[in-house]
Amino acid sequence: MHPILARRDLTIAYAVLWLVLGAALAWAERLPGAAFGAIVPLVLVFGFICLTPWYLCQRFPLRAGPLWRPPLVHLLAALVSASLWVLLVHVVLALIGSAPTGTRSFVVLESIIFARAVPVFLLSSVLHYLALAVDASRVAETRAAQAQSLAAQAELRALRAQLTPHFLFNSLNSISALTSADPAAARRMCLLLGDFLRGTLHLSSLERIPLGQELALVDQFLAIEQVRFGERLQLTRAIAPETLGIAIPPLIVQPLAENALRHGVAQRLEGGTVSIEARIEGDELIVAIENPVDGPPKPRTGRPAVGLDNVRRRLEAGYGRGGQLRVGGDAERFRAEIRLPATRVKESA
Amino acid sequence: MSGTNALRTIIVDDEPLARQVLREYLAGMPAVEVIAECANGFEAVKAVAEQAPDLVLLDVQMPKLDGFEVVELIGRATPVIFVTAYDEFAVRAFEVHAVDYLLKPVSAERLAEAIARVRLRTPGQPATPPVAALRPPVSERGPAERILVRDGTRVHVIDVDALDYVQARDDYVGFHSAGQEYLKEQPLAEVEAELDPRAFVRIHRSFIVNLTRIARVEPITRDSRVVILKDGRRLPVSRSGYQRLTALLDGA
Repeated sequence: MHPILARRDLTIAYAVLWLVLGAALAWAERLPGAAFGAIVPLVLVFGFICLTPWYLCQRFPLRAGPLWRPPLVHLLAALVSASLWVLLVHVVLALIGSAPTGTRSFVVLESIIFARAVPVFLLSSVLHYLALAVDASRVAETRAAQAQSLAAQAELRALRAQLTPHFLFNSLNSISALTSADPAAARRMCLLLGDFLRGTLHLSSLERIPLGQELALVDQFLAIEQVRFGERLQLTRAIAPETLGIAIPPLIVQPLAENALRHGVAQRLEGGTVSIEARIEGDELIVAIENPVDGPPKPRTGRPAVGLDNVRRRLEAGYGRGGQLRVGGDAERFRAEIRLPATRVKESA
Repeated sequence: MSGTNALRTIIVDDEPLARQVLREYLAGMPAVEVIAECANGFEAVKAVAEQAPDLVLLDVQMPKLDGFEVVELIGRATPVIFVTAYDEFAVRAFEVHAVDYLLKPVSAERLAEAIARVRLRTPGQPATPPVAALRPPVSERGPAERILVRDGTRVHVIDVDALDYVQARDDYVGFHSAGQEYLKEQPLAEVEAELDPRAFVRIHRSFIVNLTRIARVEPITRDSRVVILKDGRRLPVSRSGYQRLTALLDGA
């Protein structure tokens, strides 16, 4: 529905505007009484005809399709609606018997109103395109602001999650164990931890990063966890090389890896295999992480997975419907899958 | 460092490196002997039952059976020191009368202090009060999701959804699930307090039943009734039990 018609106060204001215009026109043409009374409501009718470009604007957006099409469509629409309206005016004036005397002045009057109706209709088309553009940019702005605040939250959450007990203290304890038994491994672990923390800080400040960088961060995270879990954590990867340059929001895969460990491998006595997969399907990038689980998920016992929820909201904010997080699985495996439009990172960036 | 007075110790942690660092620290201490290392709670319960250690160093976050569940199962006689990366369990640890609570990364000095504390304890003194006293009230924890029963060195984990009914047997209660009965030393009233009051109802002095297992209720005499379970088993219903049952069914 047209936004003006959707609101009663706007509809009334719009109608009043056209009644005034109609009266002005009738007065300017010095129409006799009966014709004056008829032309004012007829102008009002044309006012509402002038709302139709709204539907045309949506059907023929300026950005899509050939450049000549929208002007042509609107011109045709203007000619047709102006003709029909003039015909209506003719019929009404003829019926109430107040047509101007003489065929000539009749034709003159109708030519005048036809010549005015067409540009008025076209002016309305232009105004509608403007209004839609303003609206679209406002929506885009809101979405961008939302994406930014979610990204900031994700950054904080990522830092909190990785810097608090669970991860950091256990890693430090592992390093402490390695210092005497295997000093070289202790040093490796320090470097991994340093790289991972620095990577988290750096990447989280960017808007889009290539998938390859994110996967490198995920690898560092998993390498650290592998030191802790030992043989209980096995990894398989199936990364299609052409996916590495695809642009993604930073720290969007890492929470899936963390989730796979915390709720999957860590909960099983014998551990298990976490598999990471990235490929392109059509024009979509798919990144999936799978982990083994013990038994079907129990909704009442499981705490809401805050990490996954945040990933979902960030994808929504960044891509609208184009970005999705799908989770699923059975009694044995859990799968979390990110889908987003596959666009390459700009070379200049 | 074994000897007649050595402190026989079991280390329980699911991370090999976490066990390693404790083992290394303990090796440097006089009169402490590591008699077993366990990678999960089940192994821990088994080792404690078989070897009756003087001390258990226990991680909290472990798969399947966490540190607190291990303490519940091994009972009060064995001194426990918790070793964990999480500081938020400290209060609960002292509620279950842990000797000490060490945070990862652990220092040798802090561990030595904790060991000294174990040695100060008078031998034979019960380490913890009865199990009932050390569990936080149900209102704080939410209803139990599973029942843990120790059977010698083995641990049975019964999902409450798989529990048919519970029966009082003198000092024990019998948990009936899938045709099996598992005995645990615990008063029935305590079991009742742990179970979800919307899913389980005490129908008799000696019986708590899972609502979803009830097929029908039949009168026997004017004042007594029986519940017939879906598997055909019959359980007695007392008058107050019948009131509780109807109140629950009407409210549902």
